[in-house]
Amino acid sequence: MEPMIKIENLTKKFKNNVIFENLNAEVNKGDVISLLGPSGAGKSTFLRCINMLGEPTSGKILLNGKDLVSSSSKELIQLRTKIGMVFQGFNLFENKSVLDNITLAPIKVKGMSKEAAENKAYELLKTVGLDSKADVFPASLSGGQAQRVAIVRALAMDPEVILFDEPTSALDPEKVGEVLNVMKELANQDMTMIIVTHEMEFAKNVSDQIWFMDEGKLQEKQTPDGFFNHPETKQAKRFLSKMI
Amino acid sequence: MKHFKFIAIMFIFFIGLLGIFSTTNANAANTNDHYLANIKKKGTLVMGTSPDYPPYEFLGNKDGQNEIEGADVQLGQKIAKDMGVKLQVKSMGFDSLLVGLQTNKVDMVIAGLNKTPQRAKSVSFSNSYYKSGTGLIINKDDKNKIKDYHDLKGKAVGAQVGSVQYDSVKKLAGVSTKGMENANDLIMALKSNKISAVAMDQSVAQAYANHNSGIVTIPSGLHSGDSDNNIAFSKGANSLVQSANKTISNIKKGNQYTNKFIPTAINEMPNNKNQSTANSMWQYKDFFISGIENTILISVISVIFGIILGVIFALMRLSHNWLLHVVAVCYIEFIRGTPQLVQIMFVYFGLGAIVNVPALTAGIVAISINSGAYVAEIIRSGITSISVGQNEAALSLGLSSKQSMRYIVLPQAFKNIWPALGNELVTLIKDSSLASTIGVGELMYQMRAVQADTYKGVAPIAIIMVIYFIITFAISRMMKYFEGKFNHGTND
Ligand SMILES: Nc1ncnc2c1ncn2[C@@H]1O[C@H](COP(=O)(O)OP(=O)(O)OP(=O)(O)O)[C@@H](O)[C@H]1O
Ligand SMILES: [Mg+2]
Repeated sequence: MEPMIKIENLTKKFKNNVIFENLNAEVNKGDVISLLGPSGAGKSTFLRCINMLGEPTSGKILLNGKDLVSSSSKELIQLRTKIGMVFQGFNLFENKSVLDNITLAPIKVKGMSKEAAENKAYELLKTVGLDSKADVFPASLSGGQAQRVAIVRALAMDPEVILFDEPTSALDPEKVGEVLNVMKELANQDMTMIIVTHEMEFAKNVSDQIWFMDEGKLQEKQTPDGFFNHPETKQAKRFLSKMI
Repeated sequence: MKHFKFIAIMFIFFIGLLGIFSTTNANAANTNDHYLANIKKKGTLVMGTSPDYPPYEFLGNKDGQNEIEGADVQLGQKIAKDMGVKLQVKSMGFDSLLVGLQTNKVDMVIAGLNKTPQRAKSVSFSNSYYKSGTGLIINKDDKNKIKDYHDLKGKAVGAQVGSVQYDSVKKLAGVSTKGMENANDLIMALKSNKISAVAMDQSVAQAYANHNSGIVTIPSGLHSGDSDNNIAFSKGANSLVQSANKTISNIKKGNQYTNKFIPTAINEMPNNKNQSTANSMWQYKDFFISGIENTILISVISVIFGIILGVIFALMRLSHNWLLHVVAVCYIEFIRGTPQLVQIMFVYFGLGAIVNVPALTAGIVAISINSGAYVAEIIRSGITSISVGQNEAALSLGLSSKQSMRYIVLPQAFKNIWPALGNELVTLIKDSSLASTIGVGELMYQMRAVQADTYKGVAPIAIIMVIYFIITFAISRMMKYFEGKFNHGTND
């Protein structure tokens, strides 16, 4: 099977500062990948390259065989609709109600009718238990609620893959579970996901693969069992020893 | 490298500005003498004057309409009639008159103007149509103390800036000269004892004394300023000078200027000496109303264009395109680094020499351009205050940068900068008064007109102050109301 996402020789530098170099990786449809690594390793930078929020210095990112890096800005918009993203800080549109946050892109980008977009939004909100919040503004949501809305907003575009950048790091500890449950549910439905996280239990139980990033390289690409029980590199061993 | 490019662009920009100036001068100097023929073809002779100098020129109230009248206007009419054309009278500040002539805004200037060698360098003068002398206006109480100019030693004496009297007073040893733009301001300064005397043309002085209690006029004994009033034409417009000289020599035969024009003008002047202030101000309500209309017209149009320009230039300044960025920086920094009054005069006289625009349009253009620069900076600060995450979330959903700006960033930015925009609007309304310099009939200008007509200095000032306050206060309340609406939207 042709991989959904193929990353070839991806390099990112800020000026002369090399963040990572010559990364190669593949993601198959339905894969749940946890991207782990120490702080400052370049995980966020890597994730942001995948939907071109940050431009890589060189290399290719192929989505279903189509390279994002060399795409025109028109093609890029088209490709981005297939890649959802959930941010650490939620980034809900503060000037729009929950409902409008969710329906904006389907209406403006996909040309969906307002009615169809709203019906879909209500349906998705119901699955995360927030349909009663459709008309409120983001400022009045709790962190856990806001992140669930952000996930719904990404889902409303019917993406083929969703990127998560530490989706629970900004939450109060007692709110982490409600967001992880939603993500677990998505994994069960075979949604393709790449998740940067510090939730080791979640990574161990939910992912199909662990990517471990350190010192500008993907040091390990392993099954959770392999990574957590038999780490191969000294960087991974050091990382895991600090976690426990 | 970037710095070098920046300096280069700035340099080109300034050269461009200079270019506009030099073409203007070249136009004025090179033209052959088709002046008279051109005016006959046009059918109108445009006379420029500064109507704050009764009885020579002032704003009269004819059937509720604001009309420029006076002895000089009657002379202008005679000259136009002899040429077989219609007279059109244009009003501007005294200091702007000769510039108006050089930039072809007007064909001639009759404004109690004296011929000086300095002025003769840039314009052509007709023969004298009237011999004026210098009079002094003093407070009645000083009548015994001040007999003529010898008694002015150690005192402050006022005169209109740019007038011959101003120069004469300036030459007096031991006298401090206070120059003001407007004759009414001088009278007010005299009445409030800021100055001990006002030196002005004797007929004008007489007219002021006739209309104000508490002041009198005396001959100054100064003869350095005695001079002839002449009509100014564009440099080299000899055909016009000749035609005017013919008219002047006819008028001189019966001494018509002194015996007929001035008395007629004094008759035309509204006599308010015996009326209560409130009463006389009420008679001029149409002046104030038309001032309010123009002030609001200027403000509303300028604010709309100011915001459009502001958005465009803010986005340009934030753009990654190098050229757009530099153009925006030049525009914003240049406009914010030069006085608005100068900009207004530049648009009217400078650019006006290339495309002929009416004063009101020029005023609106200048004020819009000025406001655009300030609004651009406000909007830029608004945009940068929005967290980048908002834009990134929009992009990640497939919105284009433009859509993100339009639906997400700008609405939030506008909400944040709303109070600052309100301040800018209030500032703009107040600064629209600067357009009075080029003769736009807004509140400030109408105030001058009422002052000149009624010889009441303070009352018109107080009235327009209250009017300005009512307008700006209403605006701030309105902005507050909408601000409340915004916040309602996000808090419920
Ligand atoms: N815009 C930028 N300009 C310059 N350097 C940057 C920029 N963004 C990130 N970096 C640098 O790149 C490196 C990797 O940052 P990144 O945020 O990708 O790390 P991370 O693995 O996500 O860390 P964390 O777990 O703390 O989120 C850091 O050293 C950071 O300082
Ligand atoms: Mg990170």
